[in-house]
Amino acid sequence: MRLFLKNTFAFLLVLLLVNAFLFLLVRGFYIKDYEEVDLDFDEFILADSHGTPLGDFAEEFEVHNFSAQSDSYLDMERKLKYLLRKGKIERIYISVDDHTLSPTRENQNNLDRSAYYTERDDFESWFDFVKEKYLKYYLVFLNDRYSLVIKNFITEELFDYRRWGGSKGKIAWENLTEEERQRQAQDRFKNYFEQDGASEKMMAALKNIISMSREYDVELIGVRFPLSRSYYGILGEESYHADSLFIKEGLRILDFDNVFLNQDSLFRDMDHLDKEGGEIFVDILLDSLELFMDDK
Amino acid sequence: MLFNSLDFAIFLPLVFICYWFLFRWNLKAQNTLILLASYVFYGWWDWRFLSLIAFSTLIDYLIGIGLGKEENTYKRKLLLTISICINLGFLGFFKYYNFFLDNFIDAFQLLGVPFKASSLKIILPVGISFYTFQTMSYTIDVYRKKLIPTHDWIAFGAYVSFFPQLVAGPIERATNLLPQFSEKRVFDQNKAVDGLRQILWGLFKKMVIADNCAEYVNIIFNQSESLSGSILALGAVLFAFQIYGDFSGYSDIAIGTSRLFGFQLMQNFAFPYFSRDVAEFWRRWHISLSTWFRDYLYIPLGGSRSGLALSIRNTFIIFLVSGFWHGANWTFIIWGALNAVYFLPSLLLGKNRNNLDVVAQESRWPNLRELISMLFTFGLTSFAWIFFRAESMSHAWGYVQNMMQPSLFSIPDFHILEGVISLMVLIVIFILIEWNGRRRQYAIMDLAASRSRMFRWCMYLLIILAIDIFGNTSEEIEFIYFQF
Repeated sequence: MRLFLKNTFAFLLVLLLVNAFLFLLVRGFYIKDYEEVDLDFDEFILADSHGTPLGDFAEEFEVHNFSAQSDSYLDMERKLKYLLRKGKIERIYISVDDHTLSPTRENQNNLDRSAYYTERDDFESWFDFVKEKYLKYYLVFLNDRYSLVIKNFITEELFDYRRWGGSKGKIAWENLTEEERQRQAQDRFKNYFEQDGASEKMMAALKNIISMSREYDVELIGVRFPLSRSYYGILGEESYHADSLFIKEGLRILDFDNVFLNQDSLFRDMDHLDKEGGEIFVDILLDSLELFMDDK
Repeated sequence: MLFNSLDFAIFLPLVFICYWFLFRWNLKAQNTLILLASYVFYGWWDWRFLSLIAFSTLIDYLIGIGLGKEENTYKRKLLLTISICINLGFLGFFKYYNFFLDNFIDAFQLLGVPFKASSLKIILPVGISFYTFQTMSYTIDVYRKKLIPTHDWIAFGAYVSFFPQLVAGPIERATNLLPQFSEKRVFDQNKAVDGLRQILWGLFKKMVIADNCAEYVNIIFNQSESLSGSILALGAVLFAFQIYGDFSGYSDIAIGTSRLFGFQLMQNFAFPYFSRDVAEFWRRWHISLSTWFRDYLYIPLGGSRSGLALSIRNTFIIFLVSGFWHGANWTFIIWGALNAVYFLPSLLLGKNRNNLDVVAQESRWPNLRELISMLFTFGLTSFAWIFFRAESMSHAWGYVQNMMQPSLFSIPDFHILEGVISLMVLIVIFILIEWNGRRRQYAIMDLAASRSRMFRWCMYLLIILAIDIFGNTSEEIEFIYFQF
């Protein structure tokens, strides 16, 4: 029995070493960028992947882009709390696109990474705090998203049959046939709008963001990001209405969803700008803000 | 409680520690712990049905004692009949009541007689088919005087509810498992390590092979009316791997867990997809059920020793009952019938016991003849699995019709099955590992023979990594056989 226990513990130790190695790898290409935030700014953009093409272009206007792919309102709430604790914050630009309250976004979030921005007070119990902030963060075997990151790397980089036989990478959005654009836009639409009601959890998080902003006297501005013509057409009136909540609460919205309808060259796909699109959009967004401030 | 859940990952070490550290000197205490742990394990799913197991256990325990005392043939038969009626009565009510009712209604309506009755909302208790057959084997063996009835109700209760194999087998005979509860168990390092190794391999089969196949199988079977023949054929093949990975994976975990506690369960799967004919397949697939039917139904019916006509009849009965055992649906009955039809040629030609050894016993690779035989047998069984997986007969029939189109010979359009190529790579690796270990109880058993600890541990780490990376760990997916 003693030998069995000795060997079991030794094996667990080796497993921990492997875990440490994997954690360093995952940290390098998945976590590290997410944890980068410049607290010297007092204006921030909070959005999901719709905000990421804006890159650092907004910094010219003294605005820090704090967006991340797949960020949900649950993650943005954590980020806002962090900013309120650590920084001096005056204004937040937050995405209020049609899909942002989708149950799909509730499931496809960054809660594993945004745990970095949390403290004990953000959780109901010590157990949840330790589990979310430390166990799931450091133990690769307990974190499904880490596994997915490694799996995607293997399946999409090593075993992507579309690359076999020397075929090229992804075709640019503007070069796709109209039929293909419609198909991809339809797939995206189905992904976000397959369920009828908005996510209650996300709605509660958005309400928390609004009330926290009021409490700390932070100006909150809703932003609707540009869409391609194909996606805009398919989307029609479909929405989970995050913007309606803003209107109801008397908050201002800057609506740009149809600003680039005839400029497919500025898109990476049906609802994401590319780098050039992001750079142009930052100018439009922050120029509009000046007009908005003048109106005020 | 599922084997592939965090609950079980906490439960198992706790029971293991109590079993070997607190109660190792007292056999009765160890058996009591197993009994309690088994009831907790089952009650985790639905505590209300614990009463059903408890009642079944009590009845067969008392009837066993009655059979031990009684010498009168008529009274012994009566006791056996009571046991069988109660056990099959529970099974019939919970599993088959609505099936029979619906079919009666359909039959009466076909005859033009209006017949109204409403079906009941019955929850099927997990594993009822498994523990019912296990307790029945005890009573029948005591009746046949193959087994002395036990007077130790704790040991008997632990035997019926033994948590590693309670909900999906292997269906252990009382003659094998029950005496093990009366023998002093001594911790054996080699057995425990072997158990852990088999658990690891079972988890790989379930979480990497079965759960990933399930993802594509669900897509293909749900959209079968709009997919090409070649994709539908791929769906059948993937389901063949799903059900094998799922069920044999469960059996591996059950057998491995039992070894941790010093018990030896029977082998339930012996690499069935390397079978060279259907008869061999059925000697290697779900062995505990096949042999149960052989010993308690086929042989009492006369087996193969009462002439050709009766042999054919008995074969069909066995396969139809086996199909019906799996579920109250015509699809399972047709699946059983199809397998009986597959089996028939070898029975008629007297070749059903041709391939008793392991394929390519003396060589590394199979010869061409063996390879073709294995592929042909695999093709037949995969075709039969379509009926097993389909929701209804019309679904199965539509699936088969759509598959048997010229598009069956087209190259499958993998765009609708994103990621299936990497799954196929995993399946090929899996087949090679299984092939390499086909002479053993389970595929990676040979690792024990490797002297280098470094090599063994690297292999274990690789399997753990594969489970973590490729396994579906975000949700705990139930084992298919839980529904039976």
